[in-house]
Amino acid sequence: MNIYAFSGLGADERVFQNLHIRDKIIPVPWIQP
Amino acid sequence: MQNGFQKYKHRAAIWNTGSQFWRTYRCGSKQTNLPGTYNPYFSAETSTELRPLYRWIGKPESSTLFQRLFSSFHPGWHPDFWCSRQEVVERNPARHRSAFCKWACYALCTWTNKTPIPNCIKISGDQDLLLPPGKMLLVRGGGHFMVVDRAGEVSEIIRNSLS
Repeated sequence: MNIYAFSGLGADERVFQNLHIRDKIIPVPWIQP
Repeated sequence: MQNGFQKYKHRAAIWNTGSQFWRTYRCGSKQTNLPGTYNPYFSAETSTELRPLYRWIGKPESSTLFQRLFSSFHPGWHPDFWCSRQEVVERNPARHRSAFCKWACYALCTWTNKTPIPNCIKISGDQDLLLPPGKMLLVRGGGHFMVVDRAGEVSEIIRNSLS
């Protein structure tokens, strides 16, 4: 299963690098507001 | 060189004290970090659950002041200001871009969703300064960036929720 992750307050995908979940985490990047 | 938290930590302390007072006042007890305690002001699934201050900022009649605040630098728009613990700021590998942060604050204050999200599991830190917790799964000692500083506990909650 894929987990799509949105970071808040403009943070990038590195906020999720410490999570340890068996499923694949797919960070969704921010687009230019 | 001081980071945002060091420079404005006295303001963060005041904010934290105010949040704790508000939490105690609304719930009648400081034990609001227990799972199951509910207060509609302490989560943001729908716009009615936002803090009254945020809703007021997002109103059209407040837009002049609001736009003025967002058009210039303000310590509150820097993510480090919202971190509850200095060490989190220092070892947080994810640096924020102020443009995105401003947009996120704008989106928060103008959040219009009225419909609760089905099958939504909310996780929050009990020391969150930005959105104090309500009825959700709580991580003790976690701030707004608990996904970084409490990654192990957050991972466990997600694993248990998916299993």
